[in-house]
Amino acid sequence: MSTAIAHYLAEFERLAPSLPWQDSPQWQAWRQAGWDHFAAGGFPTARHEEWKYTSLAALEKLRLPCGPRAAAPLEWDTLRIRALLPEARHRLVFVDGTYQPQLSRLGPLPAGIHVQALSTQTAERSAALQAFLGTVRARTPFAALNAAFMADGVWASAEAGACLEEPLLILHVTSAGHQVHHLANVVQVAEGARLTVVEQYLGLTDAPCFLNQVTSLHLGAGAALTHLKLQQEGAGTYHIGALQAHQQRDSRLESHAFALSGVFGRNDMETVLAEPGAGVVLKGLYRVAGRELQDFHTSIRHDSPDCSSEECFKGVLEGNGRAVFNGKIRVARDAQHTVSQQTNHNLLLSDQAEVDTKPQLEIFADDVKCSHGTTVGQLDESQWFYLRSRGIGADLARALLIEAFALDIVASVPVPAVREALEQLVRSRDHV
Amino acid sequence: MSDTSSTLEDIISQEYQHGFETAVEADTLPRGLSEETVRMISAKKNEPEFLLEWRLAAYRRWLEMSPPQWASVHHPPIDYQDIIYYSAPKSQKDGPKSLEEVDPELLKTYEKLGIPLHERAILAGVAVDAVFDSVSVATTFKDKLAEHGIIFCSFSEAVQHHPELVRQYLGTVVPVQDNFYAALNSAVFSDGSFVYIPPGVRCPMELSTYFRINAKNTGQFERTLIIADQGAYVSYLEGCTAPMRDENQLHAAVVELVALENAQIKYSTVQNWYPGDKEGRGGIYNFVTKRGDCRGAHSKISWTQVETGSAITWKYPSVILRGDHAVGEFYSVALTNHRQQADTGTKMIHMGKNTRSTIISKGISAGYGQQAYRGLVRIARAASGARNYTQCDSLLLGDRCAAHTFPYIEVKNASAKVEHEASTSRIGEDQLFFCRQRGLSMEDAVSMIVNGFCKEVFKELPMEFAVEAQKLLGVSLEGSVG
Repeated sequence: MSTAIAHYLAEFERLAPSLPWQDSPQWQAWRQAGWDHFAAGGFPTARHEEWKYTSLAALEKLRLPCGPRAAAPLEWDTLRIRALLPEARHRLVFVDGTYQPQLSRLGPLPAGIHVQALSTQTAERSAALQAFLGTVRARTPFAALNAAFMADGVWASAEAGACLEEPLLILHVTSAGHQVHHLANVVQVAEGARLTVVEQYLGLTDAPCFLNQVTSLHLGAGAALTHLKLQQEGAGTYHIGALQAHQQRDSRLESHAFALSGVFGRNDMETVLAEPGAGVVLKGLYRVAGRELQDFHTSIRHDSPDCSSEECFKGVLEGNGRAVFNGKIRVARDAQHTVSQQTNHNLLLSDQAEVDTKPQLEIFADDVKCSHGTTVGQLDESQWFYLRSRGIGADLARALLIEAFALDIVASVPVPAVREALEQLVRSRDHV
Repeated sequence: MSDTSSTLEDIISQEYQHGFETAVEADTLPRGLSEETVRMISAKKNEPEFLLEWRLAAYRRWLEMSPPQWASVHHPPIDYQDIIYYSAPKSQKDGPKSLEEVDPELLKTYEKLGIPLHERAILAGVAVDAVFDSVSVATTFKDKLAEHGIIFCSFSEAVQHHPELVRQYLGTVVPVQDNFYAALNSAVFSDGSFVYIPPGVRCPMELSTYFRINAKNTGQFERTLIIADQGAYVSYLEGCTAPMRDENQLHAAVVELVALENAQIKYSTVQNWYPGDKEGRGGIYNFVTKRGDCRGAHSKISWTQVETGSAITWKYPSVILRGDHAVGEFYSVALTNHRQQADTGTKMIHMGKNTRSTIISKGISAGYGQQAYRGLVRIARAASGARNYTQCDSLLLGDRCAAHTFPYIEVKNASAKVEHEASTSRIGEDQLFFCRQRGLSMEDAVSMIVNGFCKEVFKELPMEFAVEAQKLLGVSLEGSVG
């Protein structure tokens, strides 16, 4: 056993009794299974195809204590200025892995909409939770590790036909660092229901820490879910996320991912178009500078006929930054009339930066229209000349062009308040 | 459409046309591979000491290696002790000095294959080095080429007459430890072609090799080495066939190209090894390592391939763009029908400044055919101003076939421009309707559309090959729609 595994094992043994619902044998078995899965494989190395370009060596060396810890009290006013939706009527706030009722608020929810922190679930309700989290547990080694340690997060659900117009904000704040946090969010949208969920991960510290989260999305027939995840992590944060979505007939998922900071980010996203007529839109923007790394591994599984998918990821790389993109699209046998489009564009602005991209199509049906496109390039010279010849300074011209490249991902966010906040965020980094 | 589909059915189920076996007495080593086998092959070919040592080193490396598992192809494990590693037509021993001395049975074989080996060669203006099982049978036009100082001969001859060139370049592009099959080839290769174009010479004709696996249970391990010295130019063609058999046969070749400053090499392949029958019995396992090294500035290497045969194709013709301003090209049409599998693609390794590469890959899958494009474009940190354009399209005919795309793109230089596009679709109903409505038969319509799909690649092929390639494609495609 490697020393890193030994460290996590010691932590698991120390924390296990205090984790939620541990009085239930099902939950003990569930967590143990998660641990066994993780321990069997250990930390993946570069020999592992899915981790070919992303080294976990530094994370492996980071031996931080796991589990929630008592957070220093924070005022909403300090968070307010950084929150993506400061005026959100429904927000759940977590600080250092623990739910903060005094910082959260839930306005009156329409009938059929339920939002609760995981740690406040009763043991009976938690049994149902296992079924929803089950799909994500085996997704990656870290999702399995999350299953062992997971202590908090959000469970949001919309019953058949229910609709929540305003977005629900899930804000996770890392304030202290030197800690590993495991969070899980479950969103369940039943037949014909509609929901908008925004996950924001905000780092207030540059101290080393490791955030390992999973998100599990379930869309019933005709359901619509708009989902957004924003990583605004501190300079010492390792963020690993796994997202698993399951879509039934004619459901529609729009998921936007923004990875704007943090020393290391890795997201494994998978959506299964399980029944005919389902559609998914995946958009993403990653920015790296300094010695940061952002890695997106996406997988869209067309398991049924007449489904569509549209995917677009863009990246801006500066300094010694590194980015990895792997977009897998798998069209199963007999998944006829599939329409699938994927693009990945990278703006490489420094000779020390590196991008490794691999779009991937695996197609087993013939009546399909699938395409992907990838580019790696620089700022357009003629556009650069146009701006400079009109007296615009080099810094501003550069910022404008980067903004123009990145903003169309932001522009596709359907919630106006979120879109405007993100525009500000993308801009502010350019003008620093 | 139903009236046409019966004739189309005939076409798709057409038997392999080159599946005859020639009764030629052969000098064959017993099955199995050991250090002794390697020594015997080397001794039979009267090789110098350095080559034997090189083979033995490769053999020892091979013993430590295991076959690659990452390709998306499936086959039962190969028993490397059940293969005959050396088989030579007997009469070859005395060494034919001219075409008249070549075993007439052999010449008939090549006639059946339609190779312009005889007088037809002159008309066609093609110099052929024909490799039958493991040894080179005859090389035409040698004298004419010698006038220009061009060396075009079998690999064994090159070893005897130009050992210094062989020693200088052999294994410098594909090192023995490169991969499992390359190591195996390095240990047991029996023959192949050798080309050297001296500085400033433009080879006056297309050079060509025809490979054929004839004897049963033999593996073919040929090795081709082409060197274009400074400012030289050569266009090289390669074609392959094999008789029909129920068993699978292994073909593990290595091709090395070296282009020095301002040199250009154009390498074209039409591969039509026996693909196995409809149920996937028999056929050639074509596990080939092909790589070109653009060593000098302004050099250019271009690969064009049409892959219609083989039960399994595992092949990635690559270019290392070492010299500044070097150019690499890869044009490919791959067809898989029935139970054929192909995992093919290319690697473009940009190391020099202002290097450029183009990849055009067209895959056609029919029946239960499985196909994967697997490519790598790597822009090294020092390769400023590098440019790559990749396009890989797949055409699917039938709902039981598959097409996959695995492009790896690694960029470490901020002045690089890399573009990749890929699409997968089937023949559009609207395209078919357009053609049918104008009176074209279903067959012609499909053929036209498919040829249009492959046109970008076919136009890179030399004339004679382009015609052959179109005919080959015609064999199985039309039946898949209707």
